[in-house]
Amino acid sequence: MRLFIYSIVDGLSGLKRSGISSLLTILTICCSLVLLGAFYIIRQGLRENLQETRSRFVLEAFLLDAEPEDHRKTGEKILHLAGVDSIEYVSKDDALARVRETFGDDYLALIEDNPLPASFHVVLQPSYVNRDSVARIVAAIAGVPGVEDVVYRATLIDLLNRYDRLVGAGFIIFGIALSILGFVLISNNIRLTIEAKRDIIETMELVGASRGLIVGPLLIQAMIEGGLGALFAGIVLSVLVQVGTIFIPVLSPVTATSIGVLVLVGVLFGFLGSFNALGWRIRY
Amino acid sequence: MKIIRFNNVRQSYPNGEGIQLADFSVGRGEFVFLVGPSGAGKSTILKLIIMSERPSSGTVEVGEYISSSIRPGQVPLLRRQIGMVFQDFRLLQDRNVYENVAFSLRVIGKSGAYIKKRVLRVLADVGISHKRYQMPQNLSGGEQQRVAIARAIVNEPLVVLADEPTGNLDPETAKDIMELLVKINIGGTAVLMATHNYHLVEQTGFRVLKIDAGVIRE
Ligand SMILES: Nc1ncnc2c1ncn2[C@@H]1O[C@H](COP(=O)(O)OP(=O)(O)OP(=O)(O)O)[C@@H](O)[C@H]1O
Ligand SMILES: [Mg+2]
Repeated sequence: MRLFIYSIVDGLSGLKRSGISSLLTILTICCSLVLLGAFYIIRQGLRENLQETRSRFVLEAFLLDAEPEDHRKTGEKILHLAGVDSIEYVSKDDALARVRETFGDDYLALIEDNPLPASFHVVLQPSYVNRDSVARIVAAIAGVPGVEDVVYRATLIDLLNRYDRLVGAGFIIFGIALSILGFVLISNNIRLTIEAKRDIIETMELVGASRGLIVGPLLIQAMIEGGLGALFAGIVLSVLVQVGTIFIPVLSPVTATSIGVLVLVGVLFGFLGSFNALGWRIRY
Repeated sequence: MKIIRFNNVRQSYPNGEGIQLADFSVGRGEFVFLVGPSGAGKSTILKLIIMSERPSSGTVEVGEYISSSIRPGQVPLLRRQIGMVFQDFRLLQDRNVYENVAFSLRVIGKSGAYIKKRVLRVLADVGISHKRYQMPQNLSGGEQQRVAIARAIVNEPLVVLADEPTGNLDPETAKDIMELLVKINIGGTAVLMATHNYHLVEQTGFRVLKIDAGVIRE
């Protein structure tokens, strides 16, 4: 317990003692996390945007003329297909009304008989909105008795597919690379700090300091540096997002929770970084 | 009652240097000089005592610990019973005089109140309390060595090991430091002081261990 308190107190005064190098560590952590955070926020924004686009994607299943009761049965079958989220029935009259709304009355006044087929607007579960699933679902819907034809905007699917790959694998690889880079930077920085304390650590060993007493304050110091760096990164990020929203409206604001998570990540970075840097130094 | 005992110790380095034979002991409260020319192996003997090195053969006993059986985790415990003073002082450069001395007590988990009382007491004993809030780099060599001695004795060790403690000091200051070590010894703490300054040794009349061609005997 006394060791723990000492570690915290000494870790704190270690910040002051290390001065510039401590500041550098905080700055490194801050920069790494701003980079990582900005990257994450952009990815998140794109994802939400994609999700939104997906949820607006509809298939139109045109129906053969039949009794409303038969249409209802057809609709039920469509609704039970895997990947279908919801359906909306558009009767012949509805279809006509919509066309009227778009083109005006005169255009249709000429026609006596309503030529428009009834249809279902089929909304898919967002995760099914990709080329393969859509093709599968379209085939399935087309196979449902009473369905004449299924149409959809294939180009939108292609576009979504392309974005998907970018936001998926590409971003993850980039994100991991960025994390590793950040970690290496931080770890190296802390290693330098500790290397500068080599004499001090050696002297402490001579005086009979146990491992905990030497390592404790260094770990705590690095964790505080990590937390502080992350906190600054959080502040920088929220300002950046505020400014960025003007240009890219999809960015969601940085919440207190996400700053909290960021600080935890920073503390973890500090801990792992110094642990990694210390490993070779301590003999017992 | 012996606190340090070397039993047929040989410590050879790959380059052929080192100690051929060390067989001696130091008793409680003794003042012993360890003399020999530069490179004779004086520092090596001290390193063997604090067990930062283990002998090639033979055993070193310090207090209750024996080099052949001590576990790594026990080394700090052993060192808490030994005060170390070096030619180059080796203070913790990142904290002030008071904290340097207090560190030896924090190591053994003493309470804050005790630490304060004890550190101030010892700083006064070595005559450096007026500089207690100074950083080591702002002190003269003699002052730094006083701080180092304060650190060495603050937790009342069995023995103080001094490796050429006056080597970096002018004769006047060296004499003061010497007197301080003698004073500590009179207080009951054993002192083992390595030096190549025969002149200094002859003046005092304390026991002398000589390293002669790598051999030390009683
Ligand atoms: N770790 C080591 N590896 C190899 N050789 C060493 C090592 N430590 C000491 N030596 C050698 O052992 C010999 C004795 O060294 P030591 O430092 O004990 O001498 P010393 O008597 O303290 O000398 P000085 O008066 O100059 O301090 C030297 O020749 C030194 O080069
Ligand atoms: Mg030496």
